[in-house]
Amino acid sequence: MMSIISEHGYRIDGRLPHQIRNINCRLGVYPQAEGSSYIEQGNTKILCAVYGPHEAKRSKQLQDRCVINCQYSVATFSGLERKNRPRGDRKANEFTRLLEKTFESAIMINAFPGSQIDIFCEVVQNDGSLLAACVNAATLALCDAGIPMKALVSASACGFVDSKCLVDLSNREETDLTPRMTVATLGNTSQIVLIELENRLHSNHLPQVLAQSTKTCADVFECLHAAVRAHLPGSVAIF
Amino acid sequence: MATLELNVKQSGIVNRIITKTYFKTRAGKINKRAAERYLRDDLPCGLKACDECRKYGKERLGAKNSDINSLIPSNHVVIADASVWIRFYDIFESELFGNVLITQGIWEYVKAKSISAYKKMNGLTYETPSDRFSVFMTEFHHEIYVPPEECVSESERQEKCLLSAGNYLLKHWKRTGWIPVILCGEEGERDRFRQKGFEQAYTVKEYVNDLKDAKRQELLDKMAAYDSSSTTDKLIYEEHLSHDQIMQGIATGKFRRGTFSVSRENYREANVIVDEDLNTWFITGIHFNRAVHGDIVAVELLPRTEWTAPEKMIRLRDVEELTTTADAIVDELNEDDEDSETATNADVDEGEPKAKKMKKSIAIPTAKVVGIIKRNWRPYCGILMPSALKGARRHLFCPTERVIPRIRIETEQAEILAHQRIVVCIDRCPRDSKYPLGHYVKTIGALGDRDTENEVLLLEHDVPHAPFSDAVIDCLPPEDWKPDMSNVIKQDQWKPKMTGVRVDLRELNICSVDPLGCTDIDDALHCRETEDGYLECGVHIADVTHFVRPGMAMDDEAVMRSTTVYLCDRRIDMLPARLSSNLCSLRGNEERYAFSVVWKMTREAEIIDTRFHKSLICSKAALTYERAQEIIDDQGMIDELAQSLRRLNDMSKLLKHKRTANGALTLASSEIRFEMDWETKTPKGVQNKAHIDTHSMVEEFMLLANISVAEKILSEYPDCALLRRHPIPAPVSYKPVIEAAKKRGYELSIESGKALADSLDRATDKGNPMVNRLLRMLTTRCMTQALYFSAGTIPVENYMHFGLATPIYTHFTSPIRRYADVVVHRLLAASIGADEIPSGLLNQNNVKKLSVNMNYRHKQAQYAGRASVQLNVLTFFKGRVEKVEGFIMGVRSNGIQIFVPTYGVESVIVIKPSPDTVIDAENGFVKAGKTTINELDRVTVQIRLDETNVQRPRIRLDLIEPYIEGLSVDFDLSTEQGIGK
Repeated sequence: MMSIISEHGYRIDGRLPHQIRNINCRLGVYPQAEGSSYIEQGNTKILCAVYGPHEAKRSKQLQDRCVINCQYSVATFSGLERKNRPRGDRKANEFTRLLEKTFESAIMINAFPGSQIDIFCEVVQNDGSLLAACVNAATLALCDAGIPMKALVSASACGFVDSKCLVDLSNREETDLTPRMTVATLGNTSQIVLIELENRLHSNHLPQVLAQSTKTCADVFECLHAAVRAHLPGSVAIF
Repeated sequence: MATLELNVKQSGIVNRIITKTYFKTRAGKINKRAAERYLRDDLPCGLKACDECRKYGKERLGAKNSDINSLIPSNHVVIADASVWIRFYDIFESELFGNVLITQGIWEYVKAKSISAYKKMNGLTYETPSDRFSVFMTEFHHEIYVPPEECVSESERQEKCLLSAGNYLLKHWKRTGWIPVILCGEEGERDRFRQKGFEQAYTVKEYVNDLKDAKRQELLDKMAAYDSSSTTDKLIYEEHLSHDQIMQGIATGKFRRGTFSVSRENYREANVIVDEDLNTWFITGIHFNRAVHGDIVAVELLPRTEWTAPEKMIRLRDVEELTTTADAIVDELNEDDEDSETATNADVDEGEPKAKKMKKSIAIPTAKVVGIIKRNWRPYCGILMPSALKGARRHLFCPTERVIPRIRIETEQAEILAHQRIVVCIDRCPRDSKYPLGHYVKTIGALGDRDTENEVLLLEHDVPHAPFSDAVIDCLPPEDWKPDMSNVIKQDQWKPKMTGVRVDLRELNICSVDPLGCTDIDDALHCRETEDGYLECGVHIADVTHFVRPGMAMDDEAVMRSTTVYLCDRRIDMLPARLSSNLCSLRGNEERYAFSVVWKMTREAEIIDTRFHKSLICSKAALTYERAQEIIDDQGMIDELAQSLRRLNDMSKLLKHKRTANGALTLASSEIRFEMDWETKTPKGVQNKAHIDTHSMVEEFMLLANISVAEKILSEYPDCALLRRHPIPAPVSYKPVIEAAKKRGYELSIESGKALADSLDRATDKGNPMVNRLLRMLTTRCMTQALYFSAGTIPVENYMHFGLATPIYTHFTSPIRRYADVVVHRLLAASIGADEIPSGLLNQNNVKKLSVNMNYRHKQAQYAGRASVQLNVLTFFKGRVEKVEGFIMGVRSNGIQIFVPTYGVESVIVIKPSPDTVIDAENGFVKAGKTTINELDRVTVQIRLDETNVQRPRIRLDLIEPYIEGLSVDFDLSTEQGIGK
């Protein structure tokens, strides 16, 4: 059994505890969607498409703002073992709700009363930190769609092992026992729009984990920001 | 492998690759996993002289060693390959290995293959302050990493990695003048390295042989594991089954698994507990099949026709040696064939006739060992057996612990080692050797030397006893520490749920009562009348957790030690002396921090209400038990302190009465204590343990405090409170004591604790008051030990403490000498809001781990204490002969067990068979001529030290009255360490 942080202080894949994995991303991968993106965080690969804003169904319409509708699904071939169904399990529903809430606070929802924005996230390969990667993918896709947001949202996962914070966990590091927290922040600030904890973490350790998470979000933000900047020259200016 | 684009530049990471591994799931499916690996360029090589790597981390290696080895004339760093680590890890303890680099590949391989080698490696690298070892992270190194796709097998990859690391270092260190040297286990491997152009490869034997220091001989001995044992086709033992076969067998129910435990009376008999109801299977002689005491084995039941029963015979190796001549030992050692033959014959001879005899009587389930699931070997202390053959290389090593078999080792320095206590490890147990094969590890010291014997005792019981490290000492408060008065409040200001305050109890007449010479005083008491006519009793415990904070080096050390160990002439503290005998010790007339439990009670000892709070106290007097008794008895003394003591004493009597009415047991033990002459550290005599009221006064209040605290912490932390339980013994386990009582005409009732306590009270013999004590002793032996556990891990009804007859119990009153109490203090402090709780204590798993360790340490500390007493019995009887009273504890078919209460010695007198002696082991009597002796009879024995064997003095008993022909030879049974004591 390999320990998550070795005696020598390195993680299984050779990173130091505070180092994130390699991030590769592309915007505009589906021409038919309003906005789309593809992101790789290490071996975690996510495809995301955004449709809208379009008129919402009558029953769903809200008069003062738009409705955010998310769908999170995990490809059956994405993990070590083949999954039976890509959607609808407890975890997927939870992630869907979390994504919706996150972007409700990030998107200028009051600008589109009565309409709806759809965000579809598909996990192509699962190597841990899925929720964080989905948030990052969705931000890029929203950006690509030109939907006004308060700022870019960047997310990161942070675990706590042997009194050390461990960021951007891979699949092998996500054991049943390690407490791990996913945090998303707005822009390069410490405004938190998503916070989620799995397993139990002692409250004494919370400040430490939170500080490390926000710091990592800032690192991720740099990457996303650079990707958006690189994408801009090739895209069409609306105004 | 694919090299991928790296977008995110982070310090040290220069490359990223993807590796694919295939693995089998538990369900048997094959899965593929693609994992990333980040390769780095910021990994330090570990050499001080290397300028390039200095910025990456602490460098460790750098001891000049250009002149220590004649093979290598320059400064060098040794890289030993995995096989060397696994086989010869002991040699690295030697200072002769000044610079050792461990590559990450080797580290991981060793970790996966051999726990003991890994422990040593990790200990040397990270747990000792020396700078002789360094780890080089080759698997993450961008220039060294060898992708697994390029290699056919795991071992080939190991070699390639090592070569790659060697070549890299050669180049990397060129300017410094240092060179890497690879040490291999075998010549073939060395040659492969040389063929591939790496010249500085040697086998570990070559390297050690050419060391210039004379101590190399010791290293060679350590390495003297047998290269390839003689391939005789005379195999003694059956082959062990493979792991898969064993697991299959266990699944189908054909085999059972259990811990192999050898009988302390007869080394040819062993038991394995095979199920939860503690049913055991019996194993004899050849069916041991090389299992060593403590191993986890798989056993298979023999057909009913081969079942036997214990011989009821005392069979110790020392006994047999008396009849074996030195020549026989030589034979055993040098002629393998003959040796094995005699061994098999002997076993057959003994096995068969007995089987026939036993069939009629009481054959019990008998089994054989078919495989070993887990070896539980450790380094063993002991001595080398004298060898008749001068200059022989092969020797037999005799472990101190009785149940461990003799071990065969090879050494060139037998003459030197003959008078030393040495440590030996077992390497393997081949099928063709009667004894396990091992190697010499180290010397402890000269035989018979006091310090050596103590060291052996501590090592054998795994008691951590090194002086406290600097890190621990740094945690201590200053010597002139004074209490901080800022948060101290008056008594009447205190209200429940007040956080962070301390109640000022300095004006109370608190005193402590302890044995003479006690310096670690952790409890003090008081009792006063309240205005509303009740009594207020208080127990004040040293506030250790104020000083020992979680996460401190001192706390970690205390967890490791878990308990203070008391030897006759030495105390091994759990906490450094400044705390244990000064700042935490509640000394008289000094202001100390305490944790108080204060009850309001009626005069009938009914508790009205209980308060817990931290306090500041000033003990008015540190009394001894005897002095406290005098004060109570002296009616002339009417000061408040004396009154307080009298009230406490009266209350304790009421408490005790209540407790016994509930069915608490009064048990007896065979333990004694020596009065020591501290100048010479020799025993002067046995302490008289007269029981006086003040003993039970203190005891009752401590029990009450523990119970109150247990209730409090359990209500607050039902999932993770640390409690102590004493399991209700299984009715079967009472068998020996019931039988012994029956022979004397007493009926013991075991329906409940209360019934047992009452029936024990009834079993008194006016003519022989010891009978009652002996029965209580035997009852104690039927019970299992009390254990620490975490609440929530077992059903609530099992929380019960059987001996004390209370539904829950814990340890709160001795935090200076027990870690459990420290944990309980923290829990209690958190539950009343006096302190924060460390997160570790809220985790049931952590508490479970803690309690496993504490149970183990506690048991070992007890054993070590007893062994120390036994050691002192030997010292005490040097040149002394005494006639003492003894009692027959048991009759075996070739001897009787005698217990001498005065010295706590339990020994065996072996009876030589003669026609007019009838020994009935079943009914427990010996009849010789007209005299008959029964179990539990009183006899007179002569006790003296038998020094016929200088290496191994022992206590010898001779029966004087009644006189029975043929009771001559005897052996000490009271310790597990029969030899050399």
